Amino acid sequence: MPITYEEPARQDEFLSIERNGVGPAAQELIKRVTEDLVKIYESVYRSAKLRRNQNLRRVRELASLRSNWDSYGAPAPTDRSVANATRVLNLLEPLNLDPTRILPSAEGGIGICFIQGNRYADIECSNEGEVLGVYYVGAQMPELLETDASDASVSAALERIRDHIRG
Amino acid sequence: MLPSVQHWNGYAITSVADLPERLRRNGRPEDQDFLPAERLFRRYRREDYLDNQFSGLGFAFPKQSVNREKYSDPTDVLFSGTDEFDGWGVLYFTVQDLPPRFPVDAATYSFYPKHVPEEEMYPHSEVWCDSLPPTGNYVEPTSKSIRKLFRAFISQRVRVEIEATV
Repeated sequence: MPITYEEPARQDEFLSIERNGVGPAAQELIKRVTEDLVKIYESVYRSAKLRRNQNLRRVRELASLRSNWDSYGAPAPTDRSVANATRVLNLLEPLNLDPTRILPSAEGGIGICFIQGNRYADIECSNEGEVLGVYYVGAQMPELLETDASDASVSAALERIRDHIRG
Repeated sequence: MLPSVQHWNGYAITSVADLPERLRRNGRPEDQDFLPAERLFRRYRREDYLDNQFSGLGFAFPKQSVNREKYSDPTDVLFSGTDEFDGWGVLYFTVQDLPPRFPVDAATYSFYPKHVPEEEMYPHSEVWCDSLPPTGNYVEPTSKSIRKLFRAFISQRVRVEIEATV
């Protein structure tokens, strides 16, 4: 069965080989293909882990904000909003959806934003424990994503955001 | 000698000693006449602006502070005797961007600008909300959903006057 292989050192060149190829050269190529595919897989996995850790670190950074961080009197994020934002990031993992940015909320809390072109969505974890989202395209009327803050309803909201962002 | 400082009503800490005279109230009355095209200025940080979109997370209820164009230059919202707003940007939306009936499909609230001059910042104004039919007073929406929707709505209408670098 033919497989396609992208040579890491020369990304413009592709090779096609037979899995059942015979001879030392073919066996060597199959070995290299297998090793490189493992490296690619591990690299994708590592990147995802790295991004997740960066996002969690960002939430921890926001936890140390002081009130009036926006100079307009915004409250600092509470432990409750930090815990919910962390939970949202964990619920995002199986959806394979990366936040564009994680921001403090001027209303108090932490928001996780997603942007793709003119598509925008965010999910906001308030200081009071509510989890509420919004999404829209360009100047179209925004749509609300209400949740009861349970894992199930937050996951449903995140799935809606994923579908919206991916168009 | 340390500069004198004043904490405006949820607004900013500045050196009052250096405040331009035109920004002082000096006994001037409130002026509730707003033209639809009048711009309302607010400072922002670069992180609030994502891929040419301002995030509604940067706006808050109640009574969001702005400076009205009629009595203010855009840079006035960056005024500070301590340089604390160096690199911040200035955004604006117009009076006509504030929806007189909101939400559009089931209007229960009205948004409008309110001139709330302060002794050391005459142009200071706020975005007010009233219920429908109007009471003439500030009415805080009981539903967090309305607040969330409005913050997104107004963020869609924001334009940048001075780009933030921090």
